[in-house]
Amino acid sequence: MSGRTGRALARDWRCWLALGLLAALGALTVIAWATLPGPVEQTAPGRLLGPSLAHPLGTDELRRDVAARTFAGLRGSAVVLAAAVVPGALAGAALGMAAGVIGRWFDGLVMRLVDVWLAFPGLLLALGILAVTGPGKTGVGLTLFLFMVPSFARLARGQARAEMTRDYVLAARALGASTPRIAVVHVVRNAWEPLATHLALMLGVAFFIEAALSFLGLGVQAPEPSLGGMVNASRQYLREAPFYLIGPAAVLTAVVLSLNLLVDAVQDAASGGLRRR
Amino acid sequence: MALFVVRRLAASLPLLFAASLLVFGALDLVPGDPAELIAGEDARPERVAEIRAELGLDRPLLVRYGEWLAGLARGDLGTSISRGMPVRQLVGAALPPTLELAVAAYLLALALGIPLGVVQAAAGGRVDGALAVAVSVVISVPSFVVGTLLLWLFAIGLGWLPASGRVPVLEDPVGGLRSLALPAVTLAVAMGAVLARFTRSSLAGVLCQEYIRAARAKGLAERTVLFRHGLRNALVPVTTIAALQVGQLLTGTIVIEQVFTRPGVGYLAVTAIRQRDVPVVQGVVLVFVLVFVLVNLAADIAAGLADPRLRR
Repeated sequence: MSGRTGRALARDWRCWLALGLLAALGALTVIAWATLPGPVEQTAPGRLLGPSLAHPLGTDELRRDVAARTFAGLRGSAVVLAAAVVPGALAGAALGMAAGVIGRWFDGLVMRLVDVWLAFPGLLLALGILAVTGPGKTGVGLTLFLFMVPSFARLARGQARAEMTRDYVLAARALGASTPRIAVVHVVRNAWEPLATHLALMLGVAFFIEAALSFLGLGVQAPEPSLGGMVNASRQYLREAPFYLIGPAAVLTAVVLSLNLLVDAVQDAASGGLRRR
Repeated sequence: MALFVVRRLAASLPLLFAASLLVFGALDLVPGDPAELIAGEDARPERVAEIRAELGLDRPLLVRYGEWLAGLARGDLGTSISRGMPVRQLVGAALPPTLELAVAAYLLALALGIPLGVVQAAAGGRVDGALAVAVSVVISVPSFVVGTLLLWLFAIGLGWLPASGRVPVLEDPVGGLRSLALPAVTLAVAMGAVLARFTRSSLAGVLCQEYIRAARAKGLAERTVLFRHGLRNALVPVTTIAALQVGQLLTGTIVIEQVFTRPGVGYLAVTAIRQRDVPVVQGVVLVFVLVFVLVNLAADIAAGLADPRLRR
């Protein structure tokens, strides 16, 4: 990251707010894991109780602690994202990089494929895949992996093509560097920044898709907790226990909001920090 | 222009082809033999073979793909495993609730988002900043959370609107709009916020241009400058975004229908996945892809009509 971009970021309140929110959520996840009962333990004195010291967000319909389940759900989402989104992004970036560096028919083939792939909306892809795998984490992970590949491939390919025309690549070639070496050592080092920004953006989208699928009952299966699944369950008890909804809803919003703020801040900083008026 | 339309049509064929392969392949990838499933656990091997022949599963893959495509061309989407009904009938019955929702939400999003973006760009300063923060927050709330909150407030708390179900708007306008209000608003909120953001940045960019200064210097009323010279040019990129959002609109209905128990296409698909009713999911995905391709085609053609440079 260039020094100017970093300094512009350090001055941006959105960046600090986002990092603060994410850090707070991380800390709360650890605290909830250490101090609260397990997310599937049915040990509370009653069902659908209001918030109390022992159960900060109340209890659910099966006498489980809502706060424990909320943060366990967040942890579960983080695991799915780390296991599916990051490899998907890397696979896409590698594919695009290869297309951009190798060029010719391979580039054409990959890009036509990517065009068709990108045209598929995420949730529609999810329906198709989950019909085959059945509801559950496997199908969700596969969906998210496949969802990441095309946009990263397109972005990385553009970056790679731009870098390949630079003089330093020519210089490296003149010094006898092989094409794979140029790709790994030079192009990656100079092209990773937009890819990292894109990852932050896509993490937010993927987090939403994962939560939406568990809301639909197609993701994480009961009794394992998930944020989307909890929002869905709370719909049945809005009259008696409205607080049931608040914990998972607030955590979902906080995560997406921080990722969005981070992306906005990075994009503004990278474009020279120009804010109109 | 005719050439342009033909070229756009040809460009959408690969997507349709890929979708058909994916959807057809899905049936073959499902673990377990459909014939054994239908025959039951204790069936004799001869009976399973008989059913396999009946379903045509004993023939080569390519032949079956060809026949399946021919069936599609006749409008035959197969038969639901769990309900034994033609998929076409199920999807056909589920389409009106989804289309009502999509159209209402789209109009609402346009009617809310674009004026909001114009107000932001025209006002500038603190008003713009405060609204921009509000828009960012609204974009970040997942649609099913927005829907559940609205459900709690307007259906459970205040009791003004029904919490679930669907009444056909054309048969009973009042009841129909009442059952449509919450789902449509939920779907429109996020989309409207995105449109507001794009309208704002596009219009703010246009308002910095020299020709706007020239129009002001000429003594034109601020309103004329803003709408005739500013907004008109600013709306070109917004139209592109609005067209792209149709895809999100369609997939958005899947989630919203679940929140408000609306018996549309998305609701049908989710239920079908839970019951492992693959032909129904296939039908839904195909219909969605087809609508999606047609809408994008229409948007491209509209853009080509508006801006001749795009036709090259």
